[in-house]
Amino acid sequence: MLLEKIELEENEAVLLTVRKHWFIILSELFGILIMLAAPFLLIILYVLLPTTLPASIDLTTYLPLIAFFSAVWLLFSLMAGFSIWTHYYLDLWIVTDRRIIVIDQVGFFNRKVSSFRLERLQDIKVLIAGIIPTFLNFGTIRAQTASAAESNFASTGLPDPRNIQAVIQKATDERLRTISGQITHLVD
Amino acid sequence: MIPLAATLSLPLSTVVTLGFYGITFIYAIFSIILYYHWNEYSTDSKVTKVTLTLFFGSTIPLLLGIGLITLIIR
Repeated sequence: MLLEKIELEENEAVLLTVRKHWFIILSELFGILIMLAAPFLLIILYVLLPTTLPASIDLTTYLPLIAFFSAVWLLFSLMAGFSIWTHYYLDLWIVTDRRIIVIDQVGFFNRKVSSFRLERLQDIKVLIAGIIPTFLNFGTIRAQTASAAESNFASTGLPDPRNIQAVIQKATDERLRTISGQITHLVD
Repeated sequence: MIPLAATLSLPLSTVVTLGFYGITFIYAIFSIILYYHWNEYSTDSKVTKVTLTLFFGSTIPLLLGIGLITLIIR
């Protein structure tokens, strides 16, 4: 399992684990639902509108072939659906009291794992744009770190982004306080 | 006269059988990849169990059905 592989430091606590908003997965799976229903809709259409087809076509002759292609279509639709679910579930933000771990599962063979220490965090922005994101409270979080520009990170479709921002901000403040306390202690 | 394009005619049953083998191969590869990802990267073993049960529980009967239809067509 993933959390066993992410080696947390001594006394490091996970504050938040965030996945994309349910609306994101629902809208993606809606397309799959239509794909799954397509063969049945075509059969219903054929039953309801038999006169539109040429009289020479007798579908009962092709029944095994229709069943074969429908089943193949359903199988591939299910595989696509599970693929979407996998990418949704494995895409993850882990906020600890010391760092942010961003896991971006772009495809089965494209996985980005970035880790940013909170003390290096310079700015964190929240963007909620559009009617649906406003009503359902999801949006984009952009974080800027003190390192190179390529290491800045952004994630779209995160639920309750203002809360995530607040948690990160609070954790950053506490982390900076702890570090400055340690430095003062060392100087003394 | 020089033929412009070569044609290959195969009986429908052969095409369907070959199609079934191809689909089974794609399904097997996909299942291995899916299983690996869930076991390697999931954060919750319960969700992994439910997902894999749902996946294999819905696709294996479908694949068996495709195999049965292939046999009927043959």
